[in-house]
Amino acid sequence: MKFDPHQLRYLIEEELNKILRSRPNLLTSENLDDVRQDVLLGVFERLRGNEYHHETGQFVFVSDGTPPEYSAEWKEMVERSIAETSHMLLYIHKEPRNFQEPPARANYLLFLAPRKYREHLIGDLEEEYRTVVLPRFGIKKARFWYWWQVIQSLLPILWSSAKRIAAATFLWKHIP
Amino acid sequence: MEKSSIGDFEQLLLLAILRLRENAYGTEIKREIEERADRVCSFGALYTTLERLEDKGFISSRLGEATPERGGRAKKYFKVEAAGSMALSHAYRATINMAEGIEHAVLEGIR
Repeated sequence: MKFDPHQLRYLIEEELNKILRSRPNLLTSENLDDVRQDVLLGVFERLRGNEYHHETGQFVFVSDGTPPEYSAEWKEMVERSIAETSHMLLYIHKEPRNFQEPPARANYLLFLAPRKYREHLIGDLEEEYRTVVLPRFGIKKARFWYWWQVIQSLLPILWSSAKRIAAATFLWKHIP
Repeated sequence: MEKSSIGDFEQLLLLAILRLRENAYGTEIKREIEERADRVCSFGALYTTLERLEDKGFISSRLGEATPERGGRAKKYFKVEAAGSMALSHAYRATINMAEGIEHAVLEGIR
């Protein structure tokens, strides 16, 4: 069985997010390995079509009710992916909030956009971030995408404002 | 240039809004343009142009529902008004008239 690496990464991020939502103060530098193990369990079960409830430590067997049984190939694949994404654990450790949220600082920049459509612009960006980019590319690339979109979106807005100001200044100076 | 004349990107926006009918809001308009016209467009360019079209009276807007994936922010739906339809058909007719008789040369780039 082959996994899409983006899909796997997204599952890992979702499991992490689930754990941190139920136990926000769980992550400390001492128990990174425990959290990693918990994520591993959650991801395994998701791949098998089941659910692992981190709060209670219970499995919900959606598929066929059999207890978990992991092949060596699966285990290796998921463990490798989790090891690759360990930077995420460190990042969350430093900033323990809902890390699947779009970058708040980027949204502050959008206060430069006209008030008339600012809220809709942020709403559209967040919708695309949550529904398309994050599931497809994972947290790191999605956050980069969000920043890039904000910068790209501000350029035409600032250019348009600059043109209006220049025109107003010209008229002010040249029309008696 | 005539008062009702519209630019290339404005035409694409009006066509996208017409195509999407009741579901014409920022994200969908952007997706439609990127998929059909194969053109990258930023939300900033999109909203600046939509605002301009609204100022000209070519489109109107209404507030829609707020959804969790939008962080609880409301959608803004757009609709093409009669002036917008007229400007669009004028631009379309102008393109067809200009291409009349030289279709082979125009379509050469597509092949």
